[in-house]
Amino acid sequence: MKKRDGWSLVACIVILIVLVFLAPQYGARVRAWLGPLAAPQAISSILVAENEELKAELAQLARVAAQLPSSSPAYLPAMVYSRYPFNFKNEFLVDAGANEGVAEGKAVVFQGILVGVVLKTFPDSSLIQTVFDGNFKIPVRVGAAGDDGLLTGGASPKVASVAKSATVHAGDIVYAAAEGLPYGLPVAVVQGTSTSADNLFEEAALTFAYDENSIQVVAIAR
Amino acid sequence: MTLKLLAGLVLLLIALALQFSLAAANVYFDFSFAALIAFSLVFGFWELAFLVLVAVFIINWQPAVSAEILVFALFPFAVYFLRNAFRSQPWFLNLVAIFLGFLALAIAAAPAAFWASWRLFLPDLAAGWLFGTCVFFLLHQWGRD
Repeated sequence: MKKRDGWSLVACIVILIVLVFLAPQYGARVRAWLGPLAAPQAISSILVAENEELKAELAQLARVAAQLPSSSPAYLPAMVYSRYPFNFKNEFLVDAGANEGVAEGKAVVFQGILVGVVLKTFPDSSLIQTVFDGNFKIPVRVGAAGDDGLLTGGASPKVASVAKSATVHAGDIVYAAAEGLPYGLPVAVVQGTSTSADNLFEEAALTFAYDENSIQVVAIAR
Repeated sequence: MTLKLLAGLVLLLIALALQFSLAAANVYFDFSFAALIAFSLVFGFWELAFLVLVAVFIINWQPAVSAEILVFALFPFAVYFLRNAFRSQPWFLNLVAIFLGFLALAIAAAPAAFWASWRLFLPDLAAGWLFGTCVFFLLHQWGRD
């Protein structure tokens, strides 16, 4: 390599080090430019999402309306910056952080549906763990009967540890019943049920009203 | 900037674009990591540093250092420093390095999930081998720095 080329390369390396540590948001812009354009959310999927929200409200009213708080929690809108690029987790970064009042463990919703929780906060951004992450686990209730279960994340999230005596059917709404999250937030709809491998519990496969890769704006519970 | 380094940069951007496009369809292949490992066998230290920094700048998804990013950035340098310690053919060393790199990345990211579902690792490894081999042979014709 010629001496002049060498100095140019060192200058490029210094600029990149500065960008990596002091201005990582520009990396997200390059990434957005390299990645595919996000398709706008289809009207049908918006309607399905609204339908799920209404179903969840009905399920709550049938059993626990009296226990619901009288005022709904305030939400902070946030744009999705970047997504986890590998195969091992399902996380994304949003443009609201501790400076905006975001706290770890808070619910993150998309069109009224729980999509994840705040995993880590930074001054101006937050890392969100989605329900499609293998480590995501929260207690949930299913349908109008409010049967208890454990939502376990992953590529195909499911509700596990449902009592065999429970009356869970396809089409039942699954809603959050976890400490720290607003009670009754809809999560998904039951697609079908099966018996667990150890034959002790029922499990429910889930269907989701949204394509997680098309999410661009979320709301974070304050 | 030499033609070889420019070719490496173009290949890295192609790898990243492919990786992000497939990820949007829930298909995750680490083409950029495979490309960086192949680069470590054909480029000199400063060229490799430049390409690794470009990749880290674009791929890092959070304003913090994670175990995945550390493996992603440091493993190519480990291969660079050890490449003369082995007498095998460079193309074979490339395959072995990609296997070890992908294994290290998977274990660093989610060890429990990896041992529970290691079969998910195989398509990623196969895609990495394919892409890394193409990158290696495309750049190897310029010789090793």
